[in-house]
Amino acid sequence: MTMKRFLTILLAAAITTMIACGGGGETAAYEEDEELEEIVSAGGSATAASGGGAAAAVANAGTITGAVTLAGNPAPQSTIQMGADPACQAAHSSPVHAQNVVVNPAGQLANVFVYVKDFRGAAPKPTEPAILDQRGCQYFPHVGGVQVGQTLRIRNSDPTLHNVHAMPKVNREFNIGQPVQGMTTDKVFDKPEVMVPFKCDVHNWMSSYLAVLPHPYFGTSNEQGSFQIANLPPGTYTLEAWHEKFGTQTQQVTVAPNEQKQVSFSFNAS
Amino acid sequence: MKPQEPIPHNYRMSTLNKVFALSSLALLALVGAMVMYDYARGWKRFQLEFLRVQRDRITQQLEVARRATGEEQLRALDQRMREGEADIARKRAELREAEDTVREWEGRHYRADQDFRFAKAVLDSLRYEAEVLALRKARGWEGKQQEFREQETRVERLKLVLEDVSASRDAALARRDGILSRIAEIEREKKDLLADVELLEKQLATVDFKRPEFLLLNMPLLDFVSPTLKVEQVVLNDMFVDMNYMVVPRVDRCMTCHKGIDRPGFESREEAQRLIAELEGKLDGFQIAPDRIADTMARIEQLRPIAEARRNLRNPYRTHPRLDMFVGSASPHPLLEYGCTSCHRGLDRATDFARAGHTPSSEEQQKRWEEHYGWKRQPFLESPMHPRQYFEASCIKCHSGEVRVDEADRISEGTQMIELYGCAGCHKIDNWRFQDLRKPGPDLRGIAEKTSPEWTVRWLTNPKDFRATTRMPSFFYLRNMVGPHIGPAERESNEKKQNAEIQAIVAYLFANSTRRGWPEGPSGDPARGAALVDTVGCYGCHVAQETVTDSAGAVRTANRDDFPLERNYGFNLVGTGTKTRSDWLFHWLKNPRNYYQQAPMPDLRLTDQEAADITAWLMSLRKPDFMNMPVAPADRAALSELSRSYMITSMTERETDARLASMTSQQQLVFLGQRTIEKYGCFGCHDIKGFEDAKPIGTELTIEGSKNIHLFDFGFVHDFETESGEHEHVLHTVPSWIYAKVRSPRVFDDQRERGYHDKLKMPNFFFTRNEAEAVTGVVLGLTKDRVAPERIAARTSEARVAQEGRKLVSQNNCRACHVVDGHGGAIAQTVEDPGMLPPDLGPEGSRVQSDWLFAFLKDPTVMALRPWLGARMPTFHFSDGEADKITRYFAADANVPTFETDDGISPHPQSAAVGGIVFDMLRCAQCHPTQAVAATAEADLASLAPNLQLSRERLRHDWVPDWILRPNEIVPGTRMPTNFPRNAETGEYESPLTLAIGSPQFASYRQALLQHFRSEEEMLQALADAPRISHHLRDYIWTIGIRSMPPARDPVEEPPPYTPETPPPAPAPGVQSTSLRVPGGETPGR
Amino acid sequence: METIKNLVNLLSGAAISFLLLSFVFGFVVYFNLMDGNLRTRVGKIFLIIGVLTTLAGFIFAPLFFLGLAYLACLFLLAHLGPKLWDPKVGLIILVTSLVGFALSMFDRDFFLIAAKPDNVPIAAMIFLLGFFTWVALGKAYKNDQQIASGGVPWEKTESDEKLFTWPDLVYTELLCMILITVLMIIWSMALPAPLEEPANPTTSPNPAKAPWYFLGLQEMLVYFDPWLAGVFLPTLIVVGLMAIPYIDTNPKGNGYYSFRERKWEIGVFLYGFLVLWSFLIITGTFLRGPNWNFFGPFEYWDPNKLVPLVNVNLSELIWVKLFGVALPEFWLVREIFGIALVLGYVALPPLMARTVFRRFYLKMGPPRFYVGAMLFLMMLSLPIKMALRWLFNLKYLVAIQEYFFNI
Repeated sequence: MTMKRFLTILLAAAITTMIACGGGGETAAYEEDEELEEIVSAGGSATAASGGGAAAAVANAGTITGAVTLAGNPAPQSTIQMGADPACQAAHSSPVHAQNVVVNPAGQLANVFVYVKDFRGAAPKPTEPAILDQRGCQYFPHVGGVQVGQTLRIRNSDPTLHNVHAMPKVNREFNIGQPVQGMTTDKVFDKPEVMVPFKCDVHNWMSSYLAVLPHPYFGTSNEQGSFQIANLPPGTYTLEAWHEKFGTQTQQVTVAPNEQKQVSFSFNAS
Repeated sequence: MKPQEPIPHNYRMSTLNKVFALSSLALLALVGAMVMYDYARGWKRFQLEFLRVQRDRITQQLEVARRATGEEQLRALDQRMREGEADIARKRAELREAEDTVREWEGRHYRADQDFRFAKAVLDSLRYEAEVLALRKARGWEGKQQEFREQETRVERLKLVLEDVSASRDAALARRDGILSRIAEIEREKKDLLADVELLEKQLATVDFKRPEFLLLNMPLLDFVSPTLKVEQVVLNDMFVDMNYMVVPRVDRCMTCHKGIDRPGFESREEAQRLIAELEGKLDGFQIAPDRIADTMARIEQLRPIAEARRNLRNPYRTHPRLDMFVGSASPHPLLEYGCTSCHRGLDRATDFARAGHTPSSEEQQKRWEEHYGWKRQPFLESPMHPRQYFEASCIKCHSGEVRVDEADRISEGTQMIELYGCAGCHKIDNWRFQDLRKPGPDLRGIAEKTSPEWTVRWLTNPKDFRATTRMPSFFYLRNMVGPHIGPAERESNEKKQNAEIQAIVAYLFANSTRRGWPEGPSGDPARGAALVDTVGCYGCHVAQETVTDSAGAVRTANRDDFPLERNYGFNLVGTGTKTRSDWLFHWLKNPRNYYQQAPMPDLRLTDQEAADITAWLMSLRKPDFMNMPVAPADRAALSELSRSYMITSMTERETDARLASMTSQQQLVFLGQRTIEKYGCFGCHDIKGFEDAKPIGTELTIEGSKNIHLFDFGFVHDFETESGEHEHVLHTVPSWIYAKVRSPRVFDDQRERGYHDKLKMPNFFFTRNEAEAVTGVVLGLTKDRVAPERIAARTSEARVAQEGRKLVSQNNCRACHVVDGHGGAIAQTVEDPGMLPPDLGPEGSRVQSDWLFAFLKDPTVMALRPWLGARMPTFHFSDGEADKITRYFAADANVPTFETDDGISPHPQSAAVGGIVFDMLRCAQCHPTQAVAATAEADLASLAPNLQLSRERLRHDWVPDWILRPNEIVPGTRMPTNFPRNAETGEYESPLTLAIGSPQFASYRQALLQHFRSEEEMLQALADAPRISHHLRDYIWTIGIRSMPPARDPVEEPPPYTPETPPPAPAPGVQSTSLRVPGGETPGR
Repeated sequence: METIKNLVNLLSGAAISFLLLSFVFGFVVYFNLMDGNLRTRVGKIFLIIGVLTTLAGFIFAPLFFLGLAYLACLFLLAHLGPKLWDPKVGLIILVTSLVGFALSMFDRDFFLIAAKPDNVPIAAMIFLLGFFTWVALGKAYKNDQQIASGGVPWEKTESDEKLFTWPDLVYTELLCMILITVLMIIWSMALPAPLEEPANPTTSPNPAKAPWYFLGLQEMLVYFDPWLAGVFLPTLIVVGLMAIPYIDTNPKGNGYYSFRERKWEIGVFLYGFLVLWSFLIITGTFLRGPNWNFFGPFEYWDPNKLVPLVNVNLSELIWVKLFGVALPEFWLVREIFGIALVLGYVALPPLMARTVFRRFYLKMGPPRFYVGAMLFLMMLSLPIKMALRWLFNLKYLVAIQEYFFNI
């Protein structure tokens, strides 16, 4: 009590000097700077693209090629009833199968999205836009990826109304109508996200999944279940393989300079 | 006479002088110290610091501004200036002459003007005199009048003179200015160029605390004149402090130190980052009015340097983090009307950090404060500030009349919890929000029809054993009965007594239960039942899982906060088969009101078969091991001891013994049961026979928040383990006490010596930290603080009705399926396809016509709006009053009138025609049926949209075009595609039609359209104009709409007569059953 | 350490400390008369009292310590003899007591109470009282010795010589003025009054204490019926003080310190002032805690502390305890003993005039004597009542609730 009071009196003297020369207690209004450091670092890590070495990376880049197989035999694919929209029906002569599980007798699984999960460093900026096409009341590609900031050009090649309803969690959700054949709309995703589901509310069966990644190191398995991730800077990465029905798998790969790395994923039906 | 001998002094003068000198010096010094002591106020330091901060900010801006002003521009101006001066120098003679004339004429003008004004003055006085004389009919008034007239003419003349003079003066001025014009103009330009720089420089001067006048004004002793460092305050005439003897307006002085609180530009770094993100989001979302866009941009620019600044500003200098909601002059709670302490509490008039009642929100903050500001707890402060997590509590002060406080989600959640968990059943809360609530527990007057005593006993023993997610709290075997602090002997006797109490309650309930026989329903198929439950929407209110797999992939037992509040509204379906009897269940499903008039479960209009299927499925959900749980029969000794403990209050020892001896143990059980129900207040949440008008047993909470701390019994508790094994620390503060009480209601009995009946009775809800904090927040908000009536939210009669409706929305758990004012839609968890979700009611008020909504609420079958939805809009059997309230709520929420004009009864045919064509072009029909749809296998219902025939009766006239234009902005994530995307820059709507009309496959439409327009251009113009198109479409839709709505019918089959008075058959089945046999107890009737 | 604290707590119990003080006071008076010679008859009596109390301690434990403490004081004083008035001894006593006080400050509970801004002056008062009493008695003692040996008091010799008003008087007064002001300023800055919560009719502070100078009266309320302790006795005190000059007409000791020449006057007054008034104030300030319970100086003021209330009225004692019959209905019968006792007490003066105080009666004459004796008895009624309360838990001598009349 007493102590405190006398301190205040001393402080009084301090104030007079403070008013007189306006100095002292300069940083009182601001937090200590070490706090600042970690805040900045926290803020900085928002976009993974940071640091240099891009040129070096491209020079001795390696490539990952892989195969995706499906163990066990899945339920036969359902055929899509397009009766609701004659325009769709007209587009196809043969019955159309759903795109979710596309596997050939050899058990090679298509529409599996494989990507480098933990790529740090500079990624080459995308130049030409990615295409999402609506053909015969189906999305092409059914599974694919775009880069952050890359233009996604959505085209309607059907003589019917499609609406493109993207349902991302972190990016901005949109839902555009494309009543006119050949009509295109450009969209850009500015945050990485795996996956962004697309659907057409007009045609219930139409769906697509696009991954938004900060780098171009991803691939989708084709009918033969093979995929490729080209000119990847050497290093050790975590590969993740994603399938809309069978979930995800990950594995570690180390890519030596100019190496052709072979990997394989095997999903399990049921 | 002889000379007197010198008288010696008693003291040595030199010593005295020294003492005198020293002591007076000491006095002088002390007086100085005294002045400084009075002068040195903590807030002055903060104000100085803030000036320094301001100085830094302004100097930064100044640099920016300086860089902005083009140097070469300035140079050019100076150049021209010089030329101009040279030019003038050339015409010096002329200029001088002109100036002379000006001077001369100025002089004349002055004189003339003066003459005129004086003359007028005289005139007025003359008028007065004349009038007075005339009034008195005094002599000589004609003379005066004459005089007055003359003066009038004089004034006239002087006026003319003045006009001439000023005319020629202006001429002279014009002539001079003409010569000087060039320079003048250059100077003006220069001024504009340097405008903001100069402004900033001015500001800089004002915050410079080194300039002499600043020092002079703030000198000790001199600072009484007009100091610049001074206490600032706002007087809040609508916010009151209760001083016990009188209620005085608040006088907030917080801004004396928190000087930046209401000025944007002093945010913390994190705050700035958040704000920038938020504002940019708004800009992208076109949520900002065009006229505000510029300001928003400016604000973002202002924030950016702060967000990237090296040093982070700290309090008390920061801006209020929610300037848009509070403090800001444009916000709903401006500083001048609401101040600070009316929400934050604390001592309003204090200007000293410690005295103001700052409350640290964490231990380390407390430490920092103690060393930096000499903070310590204020024993005498009755309303210290709420710690950070309870800031929202004060909202209730004004918003007590609202069901939810928008933006204050914690409080809203807490409020709803208090409603759902039935706190108000035991604790009287004299507050509109918590009055006439439905009892949260089921009706127990017919318990025997529904379940068995064996089950009930086990249930009461610990409800959580049966359902981890149940809302029913545990009353028995809690810490103050069998906890670690209880000695073994006492624990044993307590266990016996608790069991006896449980058995007794069950005995009473079953002895007083009705026993209507319910005919068995048809046999059902569990599989179909499961499917039905999944589709018709049971999962909006119910959960049917006991375990959840958390993010790590591990499986664990689910607890309440794994599911949204709405889904805990109904009980967890698992175990229903073990609990209920199938015959009862069937009829309950058919229509819950058959059993209970206030049943919270709505009528899903199930057919007998459906009901039977669901029953079959539910009965298959069993928990056999629960029934295997051993239950000891009621201990005879404990039973009679408890019974006597009640009897003894009204009888003597001997009488009691006699009475006990005369009672069979069954009778004792029933007697004890009644008293135990009384003791624990079960009737607070359940309807129980014999307790129809029992009073709530708990403490009244109406003004709990402003209760004085010494009225709280902290017992001996400082740190304790909650039942869930978490560690909690109890501070000696009201919030901390309430939190602990809610978290672990009987904790304050720890280490207390108390009789069995004196122990705390409040049951344990096993609230998690979050839940407990939410509830605590609300309780803290229930204060006796008063505000002026005009500050109370929702106080108009219209608003009251709307809130009543809102209350119904909350009570009937509409949010389980629908999103209402941005919350709810819990059912989405269980529906994969968003297309199958019940509609979002965000815009319902502005969307639908009130009389339609009213009819629909009364009877949802009135219009099969979304035939594809599996989930059914249940029939709630709303009374007209209720339906009206809800309708009014939605209307008020969208602030639209509750009755419509006959807008668009006859839309303009041409407009409709154009609409029709566009309708086809945009292929609206692809989703929107325009006649009744047949649910064929072919048509895939999930991709359908509402039938447009119904729109005319259902939708509001002016809403449709708006919806067509920007569906995604009104209902984010809607399936309705955006056909007219906005232009990213201008925010204008763009029409795809102009592009489309050109393409070949639209040729036919083109022809059709042209007939309705005078020229091609006009057509294209029209097609490009999205808003106009939307109106055309609306008009078309109106033409195809049906004209009248089928009348609402109330499809309730009359529930069988409810007969609670059926006498309990003796012996009650509860007693026959093995688990309830009382040793040696003769059950009557054998 | 703890044991010492506990001992102090015990001794400072209202009963003990009061009796101790009274005894010691008695002896101090005696001491001034006969140099504290324990061998004389009176001295032996004092000793015996001490021994008896100590022995009584085997029945009622605290008395044991009381006796010991008392005897200790006796022997100390007797041993010191005239040296008590020696400035060195005085200084030693002062220093030791100050040190004791300072040491006690290390005890948290003691500090809480003693360092409370309102209580600081009272703490100071204890020392000032002690000091001035010591000075006065000391001077008196010296003078008495001189007079006894046929000399004159030193005031007489001093008053013969002359001094200047200025500087000897006025200058020093000026200095005192300045120094006091300095003291006051420091004090006011060092110990400002605490800012408390707004007054609230529903919540009164606990303990609720009167201003310090009335704490004596508040303490009296514990033992007397409110109208007695609150109205009657205070009035009597004022009246008594006014009456003193008219009762005490002893011309001796004017202008000089002397004790033996007016032992009764000084003795009675000092007892009233020191033991009854000041001591009660000190008790009320430092030793009365929440619920007006009694707390030792090293005891925590626990608001939950409970002491059994087992006080009884005289009537109950006699009728129920002694005769074993129910209390009579009629108040007069019921309270007859009490009333008799009180009347007897009031009727004492004539008796005294005949017997013990005959000398005074003759010297003063009836009116002065009776008034003086009456006041004296009234003064004594306080310690008597206190003693009765402690020894027999006696509540009221006369308890006529019917007319709200209790004594």
